[in-house]
Amino acid sequence: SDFADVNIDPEHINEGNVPYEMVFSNAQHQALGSDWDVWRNGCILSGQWMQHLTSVDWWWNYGLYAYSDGYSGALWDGIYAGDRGAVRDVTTVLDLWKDKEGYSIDYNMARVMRVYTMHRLTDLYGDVPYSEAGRPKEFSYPKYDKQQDIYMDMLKELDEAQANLGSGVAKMGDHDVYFRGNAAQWKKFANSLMLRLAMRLSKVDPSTAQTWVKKAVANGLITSNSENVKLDHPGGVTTNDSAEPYAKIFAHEDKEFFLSEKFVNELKNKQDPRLALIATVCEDPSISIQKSGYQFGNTNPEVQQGLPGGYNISKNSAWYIGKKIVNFDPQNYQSKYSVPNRYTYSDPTSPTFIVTYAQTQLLLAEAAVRGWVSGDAKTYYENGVRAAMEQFAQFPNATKLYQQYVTPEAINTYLTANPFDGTLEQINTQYWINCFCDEYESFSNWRRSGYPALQSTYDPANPYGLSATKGSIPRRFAYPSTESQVNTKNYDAAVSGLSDGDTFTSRIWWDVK
Amino acid sequence: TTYAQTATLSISAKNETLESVLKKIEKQTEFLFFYNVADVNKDLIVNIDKQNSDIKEVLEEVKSQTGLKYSIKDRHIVLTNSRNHDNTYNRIQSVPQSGHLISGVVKDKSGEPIIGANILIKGTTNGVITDLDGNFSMEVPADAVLQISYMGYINQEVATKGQKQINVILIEDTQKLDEVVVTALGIKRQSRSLGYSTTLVGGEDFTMARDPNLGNALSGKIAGVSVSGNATGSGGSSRVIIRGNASLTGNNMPLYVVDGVPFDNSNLGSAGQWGGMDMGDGLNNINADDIESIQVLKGAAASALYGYRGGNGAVLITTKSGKKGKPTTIEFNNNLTFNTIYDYRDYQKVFGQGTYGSRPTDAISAKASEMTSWGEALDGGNAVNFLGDTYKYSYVDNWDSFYRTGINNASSVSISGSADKIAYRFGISNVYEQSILPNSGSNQQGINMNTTYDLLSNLQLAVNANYVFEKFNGRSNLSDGNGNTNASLIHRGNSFDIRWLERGSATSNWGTSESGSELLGGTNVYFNNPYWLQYRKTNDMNKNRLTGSMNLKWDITNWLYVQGAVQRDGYNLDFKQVQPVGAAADPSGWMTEYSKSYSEINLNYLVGFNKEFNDWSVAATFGGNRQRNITKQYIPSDGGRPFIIDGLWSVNNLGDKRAAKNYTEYQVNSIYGTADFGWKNQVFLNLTGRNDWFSTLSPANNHYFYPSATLSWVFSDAFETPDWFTFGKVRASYASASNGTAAYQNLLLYKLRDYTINGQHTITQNNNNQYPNPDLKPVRISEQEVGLNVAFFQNRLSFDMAYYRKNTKDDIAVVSTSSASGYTSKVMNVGEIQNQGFEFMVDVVPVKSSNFMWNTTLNFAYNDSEVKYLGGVAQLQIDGASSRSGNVSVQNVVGSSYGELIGHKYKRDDKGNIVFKNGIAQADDKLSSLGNGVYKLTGGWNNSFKYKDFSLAFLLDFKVGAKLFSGTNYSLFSEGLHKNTLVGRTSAEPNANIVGVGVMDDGNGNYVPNTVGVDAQTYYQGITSNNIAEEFVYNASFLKLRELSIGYEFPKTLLGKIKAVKGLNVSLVGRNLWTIVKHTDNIDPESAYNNSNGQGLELNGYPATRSVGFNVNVKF
Repeated sequence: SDFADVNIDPEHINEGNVPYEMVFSNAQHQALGSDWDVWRNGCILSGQWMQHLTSVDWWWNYGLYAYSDGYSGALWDGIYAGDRGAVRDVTTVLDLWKDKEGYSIDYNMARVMRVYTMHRLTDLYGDVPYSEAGRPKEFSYPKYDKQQDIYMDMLKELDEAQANLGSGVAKMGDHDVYFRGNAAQWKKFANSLMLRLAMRLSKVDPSTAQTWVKKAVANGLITSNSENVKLDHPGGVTTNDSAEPYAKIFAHEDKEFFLSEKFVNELKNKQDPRLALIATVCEDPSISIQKSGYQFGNTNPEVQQGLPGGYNISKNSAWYIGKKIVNFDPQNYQSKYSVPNRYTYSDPTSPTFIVTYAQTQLLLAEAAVRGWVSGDAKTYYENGVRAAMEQFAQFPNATKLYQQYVTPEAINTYLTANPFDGTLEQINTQYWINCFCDEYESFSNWRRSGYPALQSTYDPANPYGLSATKGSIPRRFAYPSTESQVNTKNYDAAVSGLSDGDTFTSRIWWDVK
Repeated sequence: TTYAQTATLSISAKNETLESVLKKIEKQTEFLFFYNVADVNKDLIVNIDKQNSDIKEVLEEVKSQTGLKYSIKDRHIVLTNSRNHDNTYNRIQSVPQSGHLISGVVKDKSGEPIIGANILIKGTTNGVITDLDGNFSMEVPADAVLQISYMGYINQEVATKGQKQINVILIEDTQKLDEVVVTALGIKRQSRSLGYSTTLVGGEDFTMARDPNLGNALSGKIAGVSVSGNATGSGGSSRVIIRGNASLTGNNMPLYVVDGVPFDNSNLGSAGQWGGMDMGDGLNNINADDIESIQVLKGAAASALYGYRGGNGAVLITTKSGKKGKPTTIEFNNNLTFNTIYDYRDYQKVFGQGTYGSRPTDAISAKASEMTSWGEALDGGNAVNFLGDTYKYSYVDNWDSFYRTGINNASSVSISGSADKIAYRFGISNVYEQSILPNSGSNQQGINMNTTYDLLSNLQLAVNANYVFEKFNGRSNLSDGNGNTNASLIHRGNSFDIRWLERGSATSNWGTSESGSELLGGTNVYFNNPYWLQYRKTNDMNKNRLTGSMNLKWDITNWLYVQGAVQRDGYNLDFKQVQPVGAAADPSGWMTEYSKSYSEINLNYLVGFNKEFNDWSVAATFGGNRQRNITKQYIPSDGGRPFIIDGLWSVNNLGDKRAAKNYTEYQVNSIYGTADFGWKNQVFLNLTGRNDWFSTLSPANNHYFYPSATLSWVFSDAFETPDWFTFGKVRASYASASNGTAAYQNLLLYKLRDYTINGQHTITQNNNNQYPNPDLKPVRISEQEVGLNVAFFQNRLSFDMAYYRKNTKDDIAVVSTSSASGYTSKVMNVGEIQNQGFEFMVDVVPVKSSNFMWNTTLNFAYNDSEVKYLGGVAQLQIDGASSRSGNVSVQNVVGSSYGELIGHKYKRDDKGNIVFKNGIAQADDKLSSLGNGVYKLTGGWNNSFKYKDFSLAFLLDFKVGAKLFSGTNYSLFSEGLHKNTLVGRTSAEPNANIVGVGVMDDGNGNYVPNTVGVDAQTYYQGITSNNIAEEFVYNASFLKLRELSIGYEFPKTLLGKIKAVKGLNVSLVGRNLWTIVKHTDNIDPESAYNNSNGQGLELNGYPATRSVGFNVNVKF
């Protein structure tokens, strides 16, 4: 009746008139994170833990594994709920399209998308709400599913989805911001993600891992960089969420992040041609991209140097960096150390890499070493490294640098100088380099593989009281404390399964010792 | 020419009684007859037939047939029996030898003569009535006591004691136990028949020691009505709560109805944890001079007929109107008051600006210590300020330099009168206010119209309208320091002279540095330059409001009527705030500008029936209402910034300009009815019912029924009571009500992003993180009430008592959900809360003589609440109610009273000693309740004295039983300005070591006496940095002299020379004059920074003011 129609807000979109394909676009966008979680979980926490990044000023203590509820829980809150809410949005369209005539491709894309979104959550926190998550009508207080169950379901979902994707174009067409609705590409995305998830089980359940690795390979993986799953950000600006999130932080919001000594040295020592596209030294890196005078700096590999983690710039502090680096100048250090390169990882218009050909080849290299797949581990490895280097061609504003440094000769020289040695350490160190600015994936693969070999930044001889791990590198994020207050019963059940409680040091299901 | 000379009438009566003839004349004309029934036999038979005659002709005819004498003055006619001597009746048989002739005059409080008052010699039936000038004369025995009475006034006895001339002033009977009162929906009922508590306050109680906000003016006047007049500044809002908070997180304010029109009183903006300004509410827009009376319907039974809107009680405001038969009157009133700061500060004045016991010796150290007074003892020696200039190191009171005297000037002129078939009153008013903050103030103009038209003898049209234009500029933010002028004065270092920040002049860039940016005295860009805030950063609000109605009433017979009304309340508001380029916190500047319109239209009808059958009286009504409420707002989205060029403060000059629109509409359809039964005018049963249909709810469950039943018994009429027992009534009631639901709470909304991702716009499911609830129901409030009214000694002593219990169920609350659900909250019907309380009022007239009269009224009320259920969770934070420092929030906790202050206490060992660590006091690990922010006992003591033509009135106002967390004192502690931080500091060692009294851990988990000392600054700042809130929670109880007025009514004899002037009253008035009892350091206990549900938080409000001035009232 007219009377009931009064209660429809005429100025906002509602259930009656929302174009759901645009809700799917939001899930695709926000599943990759935003500066909300990327700044907290990605840069301050896991980026420092994985020794890609270092802060010696504001966030230095998180390099010594201090705990912050707000930082640890940011990804959870941002991905599940709020304005961003990728889990909620993808679940809404998934449930809607499930049995909808003509939406088969769209539905199966949504299944892949939900798996991608959820695998990051469960990898970082452990048991998480999965089956009941993002369904607020039925579940205000969703239960936490066991990570093992989540993994089995995710693998099943990917397999079913890839089987049903086949070919053709989704109804949503261009609203698919990854592949413009191309079903064949989504099939390869599903299988490459399946390979990643399968390899995740290498420690906890090698035989299941092997089964699914084989299935993924048989189903068909990404075959080149041109099939990389990524989200481009043409026209991205730092004043809203349209920018690449890591780039938004580095270029605008927070100028406290330097490249770590470990990362720069890894590249520098092996004369990696990527260094010039990963690092830069700016006279004043604190000038925001929104101001005039924003600096692209000096990308010459020779001048790059990283900062060790776990130190600060307060002269009176027990962790004063001057104790480690002689002649450290706390006033002018910003102009001496490398920050993320302004043509690539700090460029707001750069792509976010989701699943890359390089990662897939490196995982296959490991699978080959383990004897799980046929083919030559060395070939996979070299494909992976080559792809990882050539991937820099996909940064829109780095063409000149790319052409200067990442020449075929340079790549060959690198591969010759650093030949495949058949170790998982070598393969996974390459994986770690490729995952720069996908810190959640870096963190997961490090925990699974144990590589690269990272030295804790914590010095037992100089104990730091606020370290939440007593010095060890964390093994997970802690749940947001609101869960313990609001979803108490389910939270308690999940925490009871954690060896060390809801802390950074408990290990999740697949991360067995 | 007088009315009597111009008025004509036609009358024909055959064998009719005198009474009937007089009634016919009164009906046709504006004449009113006065006579004493003991003197004039109203059953005399009269035959008369006069067409188009004047009144004299008619009265001569009456006189010739009855022998009655008449006299005419204006519209008043007094009839007397010419057979008696003068106007004396029951002629005294034998005047005792000692007897003599006495004469006198009877007037009302305002000096108007009372015509027709009865003067009776006590113990006899001998008496007279007053004439047209209020005069009387009669022969009396020597020791006669005269009893003077007039309907609607308190009886008075005067001992003659041989006097020959007496003057009597009759006081209106405020008890009016038999008066007709306006109840819900404007239905008039006899006071004695009511089964619930209601209180009437006359308009004159608001005009003298007035408050610009009518809500604040109610403070202390009515038992059970609790008013929080907070530190929201001039033009700020008020919080009026009747019988406690019935909703956990929703609306707790009563419904306001002005002349039958529901009147929106929403707070148009308030400060929260992160600051903001109070934009005032609707009660700012009602001019005290227009108010005839305010009827407060306290309980649900009283307001049940308002259905979903009645759950928090109702305040019915009746504006003045023209009255039939009253002469044309022009009234002028001017109220001029001066507001000076009531300075509650008691800062330490021993140590000056600085840190760790050192004074600033260069500009850098001066800047670093702008907000700290941890310096050296103020010795008058040299120190250096932030400009690098040397100054004399001594205490400076910046309030004197910055604030000014506020001025309130309210003028109004009204003209009221009546003509043939019309009664009217027109009022215009102008209220000018100069704020205590420079470059800030308001202007308000109002036009009020109240008219009735007799279209036919039984068809009456009433048209009312009230138009207000309000303009306000220069409001300061509250709470958080950013943009808060008051904060920038409260927290500044002790020896920092605010005038250093002037630079320039009022007309050119005050507070601006040479480079054109905000001149700061320190390094904190959010601790502003007050000159910049008041002269460069600007805000302006304009509001146009029109409230009006048309009401048509048709008396079909004398027992049946029908009426219908169209009512509208609406306003348009424009607001603009500009932070110019150069602001310290926002160098590129920003602005916000919005326009908001609100309207509510009500269409309603009522059929009424009244009839008496022997001992029984029956009255019934049936009616319906359609309500449509719309709010629209246009606003630049995400705030407007940055300015493209400097100097043009317009949205056209914004780099990023997008407009957003918000729209809210809801409708409620209602039908209602009442049935009232009376037996012997002694026992009364009243039933009401209302059914509301809400557009805001799902059609399946969108209608609710709200019944009420009340029973009252005037037992004093049932028994033979002694003479001194004047009146007694017991009453009981039960009612159900609600307070509605907001629009769109069951609607899931999505949000369109205004940027693109890889070329595509995206949409997110977003509902402000709140999942809607399609099954939402309105909250249900039910209330039981019992009461007793008794009066003794002809109402010179009367009591009114009530006990009530109010239960709220299905309260709508926003409940936290797991963010993994997709939303962090959802709307649910979860809350249960109970309020119960007791109200008491005693009214005494201890002295009453011809020259002196004292009336005193004490009222108080006790209310306590208990949160019963919160949907399974133990506590729920009241929306936004968190202190700026983050260490205290206001929560509803199951088992506790509404609105607990939750924060950290000191950490203590088992014996209660404070635990120190490294010499610093520690906070308890867990959060605990620090007290409750809602007053439990409230009341007032009102007194009025009258001596001859002088009057004196005062009101004491008290509130007891609430706690207040003072954010201001929290900061003053950390800044070293609080007096308590003097302990340990000496001139010799301004930052001496302090060893806190308490215990510390000996390293093995045992507590031993604390031996670790730390310097004074670290010691005191440790308390604030450890977020110990307990230290700053104060008892907010107070007793204040709220109102005082001393008036002189110029007597007629003096005014006689100026014929045009009918009355002249000059009064000295004062408000908030004296805080007799308080327990809060440095602040007024009534200092909360907003009027939201979360009471008990204070920070950086406007200083309290005391206002003193004059009121002049002239009637022509």
